[in-house]
Amino acid sequence: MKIHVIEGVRIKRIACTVPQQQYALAEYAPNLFDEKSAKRMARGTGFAQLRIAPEQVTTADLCAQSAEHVLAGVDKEQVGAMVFVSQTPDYVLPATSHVLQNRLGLSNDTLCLDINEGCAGWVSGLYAAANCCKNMKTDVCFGGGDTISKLTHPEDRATRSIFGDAGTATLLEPGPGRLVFAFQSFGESKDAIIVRNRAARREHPQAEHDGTLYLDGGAIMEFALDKVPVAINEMLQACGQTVENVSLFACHQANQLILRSLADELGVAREKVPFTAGKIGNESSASIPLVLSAVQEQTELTQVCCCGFGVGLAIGIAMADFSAVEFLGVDTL
Amino acid sequence: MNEQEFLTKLKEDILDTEQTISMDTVLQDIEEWDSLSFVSLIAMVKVATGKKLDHKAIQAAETVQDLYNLVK
Repeated sequence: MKIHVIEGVRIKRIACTVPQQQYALAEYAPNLFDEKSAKRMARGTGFAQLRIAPEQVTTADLCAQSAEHVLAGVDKEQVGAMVFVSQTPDYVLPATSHVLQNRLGLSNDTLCLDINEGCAGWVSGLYAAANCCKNMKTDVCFGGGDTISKLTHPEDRATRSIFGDAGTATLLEPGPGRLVFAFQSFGESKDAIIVRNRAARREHPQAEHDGTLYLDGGAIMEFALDKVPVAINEMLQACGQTVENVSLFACHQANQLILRSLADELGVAREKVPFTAGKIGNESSASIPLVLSAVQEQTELTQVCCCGFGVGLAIGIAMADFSAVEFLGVDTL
Repeated sequence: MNEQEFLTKLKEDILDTEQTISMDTVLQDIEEWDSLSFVSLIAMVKVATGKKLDHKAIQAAETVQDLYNLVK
């Protein structure tokens, strides 16, 4: 495993935004679940309620609200880059980071980067943002999130029952701090989570999930039990750390079953790999800032291992000290 | 895990169904045989036996007996 160290960058603030609309499963998808089957589903996945953005609210809106919070009092001329990680941009083009640059009042000298990543995306985005921060010696605003509900088919039980919507913003600044990253890509498994026939490539015109999200739950479970714990252990080894030294594993909130299994595979207490998305849903690239925000008050954050995993298939791991980060909470829009 | 233990776990923990389940039951005939039971099975088997089930082999299973053959 190759590790990448960035020094001289500090994560200053993190803010999250979820839609006001919150539904129990039987309420959100009455065509798929009655009270009884919804309860059974929620017992397994851990998702009793889902935050679902209405049609007029996009990921950019959720991220913009979070970004307003992290940028409060910041000299916007000093923000060198706007990084936006999402699979649900406002437009095919232009990149949504440009939309956010204008909306947030960032200068015309801002580098705007959109990154198309999901569950592992917060870590990739943090890496891109940290590199910009280091090289430009300026603040960097990093928005990450998704409104996956806009991609799920109303009749698809596998996806309709787990995904919620959320947007986050993270502010980075030059300063004392050390971030260590590692990434893995398994492009050969791209079909495990995919939306076909919505972008440029046309294929399988009769596919059942044409234009909507397809998710192979079994393949993801296997990936989560097989590749993810190995990657985390290799990362810890490369950093000279052990699972005991890590105060928190802030993992992508895939579902409760996966996180419990992951904790068991790592050989750590399940509380060390917290599942906090039970009333939000699987929030794609927003999940890591949301789990950090949920546990920060009662958890030691000096040695945190963030791990995103999923669509790609991809794994992104970041080790950092989050104890000096200002958490601005979870707002609604 | 013997057949009886497997049937109990499958019915109560994995499927959470009121249907009668036997080794001959065809998986497609079980209403609760869905993506959740699929991943629950992988998790349960990992914990109970340490085995990692191949998701393609689970997909290929037609009956409860086929599943048990993967687990035992």
